[in-house]
Amino acid sequence: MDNFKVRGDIIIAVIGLVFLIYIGRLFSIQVLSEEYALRGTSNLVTTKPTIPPRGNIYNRKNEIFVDNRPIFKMMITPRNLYIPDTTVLKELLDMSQEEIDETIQKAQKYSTWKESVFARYIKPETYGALQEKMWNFGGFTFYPSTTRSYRYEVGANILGYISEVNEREIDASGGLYKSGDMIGKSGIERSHDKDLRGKQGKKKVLKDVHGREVGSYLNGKYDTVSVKGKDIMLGLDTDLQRFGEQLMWNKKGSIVAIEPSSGEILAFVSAPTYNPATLTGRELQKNWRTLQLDTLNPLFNRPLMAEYPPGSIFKLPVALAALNEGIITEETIYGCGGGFKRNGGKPGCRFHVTPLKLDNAIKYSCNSYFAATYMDFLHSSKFRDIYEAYDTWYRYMNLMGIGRQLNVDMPYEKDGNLPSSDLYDNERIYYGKNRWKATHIISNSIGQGEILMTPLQMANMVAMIANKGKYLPPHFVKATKSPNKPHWDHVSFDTIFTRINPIHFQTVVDAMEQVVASGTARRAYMSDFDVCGKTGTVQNPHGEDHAVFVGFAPKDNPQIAIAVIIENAGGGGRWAAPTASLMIEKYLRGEIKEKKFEENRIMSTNFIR
Amino acid sequence: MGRKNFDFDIVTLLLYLGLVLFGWMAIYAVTFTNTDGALFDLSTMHGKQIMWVGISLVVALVVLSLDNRFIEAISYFAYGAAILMLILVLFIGKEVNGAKSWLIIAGQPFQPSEFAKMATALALARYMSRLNFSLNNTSQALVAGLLVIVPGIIVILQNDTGSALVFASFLIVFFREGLNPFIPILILLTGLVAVVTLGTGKVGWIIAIVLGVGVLSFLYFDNPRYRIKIAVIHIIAFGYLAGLSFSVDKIVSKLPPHQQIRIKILFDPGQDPRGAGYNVIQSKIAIGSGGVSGKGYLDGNYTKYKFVPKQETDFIYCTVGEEFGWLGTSTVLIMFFLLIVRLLFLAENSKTRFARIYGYSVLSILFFHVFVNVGMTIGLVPVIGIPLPFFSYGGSSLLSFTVLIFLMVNLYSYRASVLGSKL
Repeated sequence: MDNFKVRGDIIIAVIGLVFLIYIGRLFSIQVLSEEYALRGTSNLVTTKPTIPPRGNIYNRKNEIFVDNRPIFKMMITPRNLYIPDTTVLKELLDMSQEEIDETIQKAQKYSTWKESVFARYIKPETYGALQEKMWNFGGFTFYPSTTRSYRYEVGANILGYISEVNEREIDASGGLYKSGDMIGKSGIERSHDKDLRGKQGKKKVLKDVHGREVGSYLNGKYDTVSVKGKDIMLGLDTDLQRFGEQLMWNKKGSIVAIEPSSGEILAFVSAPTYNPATLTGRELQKNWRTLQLDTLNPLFNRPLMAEYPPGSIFKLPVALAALNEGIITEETIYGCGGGFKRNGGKPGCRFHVTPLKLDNAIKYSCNSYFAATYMDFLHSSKFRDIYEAYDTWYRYMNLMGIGRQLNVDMPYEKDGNLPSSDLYDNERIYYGKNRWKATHIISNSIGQGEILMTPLQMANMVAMIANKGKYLPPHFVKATKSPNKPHWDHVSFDTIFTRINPIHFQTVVDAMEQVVASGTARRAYMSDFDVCGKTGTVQNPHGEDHAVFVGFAPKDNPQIAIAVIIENAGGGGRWAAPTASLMIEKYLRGEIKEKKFEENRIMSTNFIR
Repeated sequence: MGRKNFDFDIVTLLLYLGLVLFGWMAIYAVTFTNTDGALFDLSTMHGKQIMWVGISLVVALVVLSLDNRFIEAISYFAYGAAILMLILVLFIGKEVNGAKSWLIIAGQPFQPSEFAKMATALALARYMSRLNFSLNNTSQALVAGLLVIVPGIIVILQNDTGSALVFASFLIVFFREGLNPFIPILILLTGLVAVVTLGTGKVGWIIAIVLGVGVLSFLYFDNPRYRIKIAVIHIIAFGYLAGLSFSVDKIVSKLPPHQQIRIKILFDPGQDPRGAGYNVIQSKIAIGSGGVSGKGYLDGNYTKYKFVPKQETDFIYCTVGEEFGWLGTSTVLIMFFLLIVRLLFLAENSKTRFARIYGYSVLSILFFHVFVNVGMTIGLVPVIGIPLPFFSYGGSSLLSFTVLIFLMVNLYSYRASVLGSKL
């Protein structure tokens, strides 16, 4: 009858085998292999950063100096784009038809489905107007963002600016920065970028096959929240800074003011300067190029980067080194006959009392006296040879912060120049081994040789004198505050000792008082404040000499140490000293009472010709 | 003849309902959007599919109410009508995805090849249940073969290779009804050799294995009476297989390009990841991302966000894989297997040869669909566009499988009413 009934069993066995193979294959794809699951997730889920607001910057009075204001970013999705009327965009966004077309074309080239930036830095008012007028537009999306806002529009050279990271910065950051991140490009924004930027959060979003975002992944289970950047407090006195910038109108130069007891930088004027708000918003790139091309070079951070021969102010460290080494005492007398006799009258000197002791030598800025001191130092019998002498002297200078970076918390600090004995041994450039004596390098003694100092180093040097031989590293940021913490965490620094005995400062400081009271810096004299200082004139082969003044006040309890350099202003006494005294009065009194006439005179003078 | 005792097979019904429900859930998972309102919204795919489920259930009732003699009686008419419709489609058919296989009847698209499968099953059952029918009779065997081959060829002419291949599943029916096993075995071996050769490229090994199997089988079937005949057949068969392993590359290269690439990507989906390989890669990723127990119902984002093409029709199995994981995919396969086993049970336990042959036809068609569709989503079978029964979106397929299965349920229900006489 039915001879083939058994074949039903064969058929079901074969079919069963096929299903078993399938179930096994599915087991290998779904359970054993992680490859497919991983690829599925990576195709489906993108991690997007959530950008926290940048930390605020406070001034030394705990007032907000820099914070953030809301702006909007406008994105387009070319596929959904519908623009019934471009005049709205042209008027409100200040874009030309060509710009609009170009931006849209670029976006289309990138992706028709994904969003591209159409306009950045849209102000809330503009955003409101756009919203109202664009009710029938398609394909536009707005995203809230923030940009820097300056409560005091000063200190552009201190603050720096922020902008998108470039390739080099991404490569150098070891994965910290990604394309599109903002980074501080200069100033405090750069040196403290890691504090200010906060911690980006991560948001996992689902995307569809076209790469469009379609929602959050697992309701944000794996998302991390962003943490706002740390706030930072500067030692900067914004009023003093503004006043300094006003004094330096129409001038090139620097003012650096330091609180000697803390090393906090009170003012850091680089002239000419610009409004920090210039380098924010849509015009950033354009404005930056304009500043870059400006022949007065406002982007050049002079207090930190300009190097000048210090001139006569260098006599102070020369004297201090000699005193501490016992080369001279307060009573040592040298003669001056209008020049340094032992070197054929070089360097020359002006007419003044002679012979003279150290106090008068500082007061009258006697070149001969310091040349003699320097010579006696280098050829002193207490040293084996000139090398030992010079290297000892070199170490003193170094300890006083000359010829080396002070490691201020700001990028691109220059270290000035303090030539080493090796340099003088170099035959091709200088003299050669054992072929130089003090007379060869005698101009070092009056700060005119190869010595170069930045305004910051000058201010730090005078702060060190005010502190009688020690100083705290000059710095901008005095404290930081993590978000949601009530207290500031103060940044601490180790005091640096110059190993110069404090007793040696008495004569020098007294003499500096005399310089202001009746010497070259008489214009810095104030009846209410005991100002000590020293003028200098930086010889400038290219034009008018640069005026230099360093000083501090009050004498017995120094609260401000200051260095002022005004380029092409001639002697230090006439312009730099009164500028410094105005800054001192402003800082100590809060207003200008005594020197109103100097204020007007200086502000109305133009040295940029 | 009325039914003395209505032997209604509840197991088949339950498996059917289970698969239909599971299938609709999969369609809902793929096509729903958060903005959808009511489930029964005809503007959505899942809403339309509910309608088709409803229609299918009504049709199932109608099918169950038919008299078994009526079914047997209309077999040839149905077959004739099916052939006519298939020819008609060649002239006035609507082309979808390159295949001219659709008729628009009363505004609804309808695929005559679906109907032709059922009609062929009926006609074949009718013809092969003739009293003196034997596959050993060459002319009878030829007629039976032509009943299957003719609609198959017309469907090929419609450029619907996938549907045409379904007709190959009748080979299982022929095997059950006494076809010399040599033929299905040779066909299986042909497939095996082709796949292994293409997959490994090691022709020498294949020949060695083929010849080895040949010698072993020769020893096994060693019967002194037919020694020479068997030896000749074996030499021809294994010569053919050895030749195939050498020439399969060239044969593939003679195929149309889109079929060639489908075969190539079976062995290396990475070959054309943005083109033909894309479906298979995305399908495997979707299924693979489900893990053991899946991402949860309606949480299959990979399919929801359209990474897998044709996911509501040919690649619907991906959704099952992604949302229900390996447990889900295995459950579906086991349900299909149980349904096939049950149909086989119904076929074997029917009292008429007509019912048995028809039952085998149904399970063969069902198996072939599952085999090809699931196989292609997991990269074991070339991409051939045939639907997964009860799961793939569309009324034609659901309706045709409903009728196929409930005709069998109907025939089985006469079990107690028929004398156990027919062979």
